[in-house]
Amino acid sequence: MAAKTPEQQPVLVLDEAQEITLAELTRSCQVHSEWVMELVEEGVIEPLQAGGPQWRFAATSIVRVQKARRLQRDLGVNLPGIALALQLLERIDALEARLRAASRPPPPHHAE
Amino acid sequence: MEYKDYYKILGVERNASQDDIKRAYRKLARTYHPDVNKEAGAEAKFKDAGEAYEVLKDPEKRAAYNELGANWKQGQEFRPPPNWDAGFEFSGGGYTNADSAQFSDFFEGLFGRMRGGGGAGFGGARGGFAGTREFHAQGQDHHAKVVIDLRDAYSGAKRSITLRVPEVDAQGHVAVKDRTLSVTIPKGVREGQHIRLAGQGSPGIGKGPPGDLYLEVAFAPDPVFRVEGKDVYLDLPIAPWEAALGASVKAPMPDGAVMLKVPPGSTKGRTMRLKGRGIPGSPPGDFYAVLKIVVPPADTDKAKELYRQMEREMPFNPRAGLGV
Repeated sequence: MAAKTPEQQPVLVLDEAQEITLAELTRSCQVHSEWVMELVEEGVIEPLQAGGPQWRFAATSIVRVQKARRLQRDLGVNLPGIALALQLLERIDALEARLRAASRPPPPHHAE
Repeated sequence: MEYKDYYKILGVERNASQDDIKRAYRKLARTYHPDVNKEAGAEAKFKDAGEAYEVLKDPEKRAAYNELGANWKQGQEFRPPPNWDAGFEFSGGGYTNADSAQFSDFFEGLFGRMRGGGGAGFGGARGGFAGTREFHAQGQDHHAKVVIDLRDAYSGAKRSITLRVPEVDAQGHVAVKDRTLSVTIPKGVREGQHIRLAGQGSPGIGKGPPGDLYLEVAFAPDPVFRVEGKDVYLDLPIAPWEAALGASVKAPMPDGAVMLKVPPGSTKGRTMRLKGRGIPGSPPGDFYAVLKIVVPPADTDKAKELYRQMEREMPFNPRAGLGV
């Protein structure tokens, strides 16, 4: 899904289908690979195929790791705290999306 | 430049203890952190609190600030504190490391001079961190939001984005400049997704590579369609006879229109799916038309007569299932 702008800027859409390497993840987030490993250990992010010679991640991991880093740096949250915060934030996002949908005309019951 | 009441920003008394200050800051930071609070203005409050805490947490800076009272005059000379290393922690409370450069003119007026005078200088857009352990040669990343229409997600779009970028001039002053960038939004993006433009962040320090620009995609509210992830929903109004007898009706889509076959005997809320006609991608999302039966008004004699005729000739009790 990479495309070029007229100025030849590489544009990457960070979605589940895009794969990145561990090196790319640490560079993008300016973190050490040790910390990424701790995040994996804690279940904050998951590598695509566990056990492979080289870890690969979905590009969406970039956003998660950056968020984790900000929470740690700005709020002093530790790893389990980060995992919990991200989980709760996702839940809030999902609930808010449902709230938005519900405040509009009837939600569909079933596709045929 | 306007005086900032750092005590008021943190909501503490002027004689508050360092612990009180820390507690007050932590609470504000938790409440207004941009990753936690999506409300407009939250980020500004978070930054204000960060700036206030930056000064008040540090006894040296706090003392210097206290000396001003409320009668601070522009141009007043301050001696850098003896403990210079403390000055290198300026970025600690910010949302990004670039934030220290985005502290207010007031802060800059008080403490900016210390940074420049310490011999570290401003090596790049991040400002004055050269020589510290936290030094990164890579330029700072930037984060911004881009609002597009649903239609743009189907077709891709070009957007002109203006970023406020702190730049450092020859005198070591940080000025915020507008930088306009033309960005191609690829088709298939979804709400909340991030797009990365490599190398479009702050320039690198020394020979370091520039940072990246991250854009979070938001959809402008659409009057007709509703989006859930990759799927797009439409409430499709139909007439009672179209629902009862079946019909072929024209329905709008974000990228045009489509003829939909409404099956006979359709009821309200019936959902018709057009597989793969949601937001493009692999796999693409689906498009759903949710039937909504609209009752024609009985506002003419003719219409009233038709309703009366139905009442006479159709044995129909909509409340049959209610047991009354």
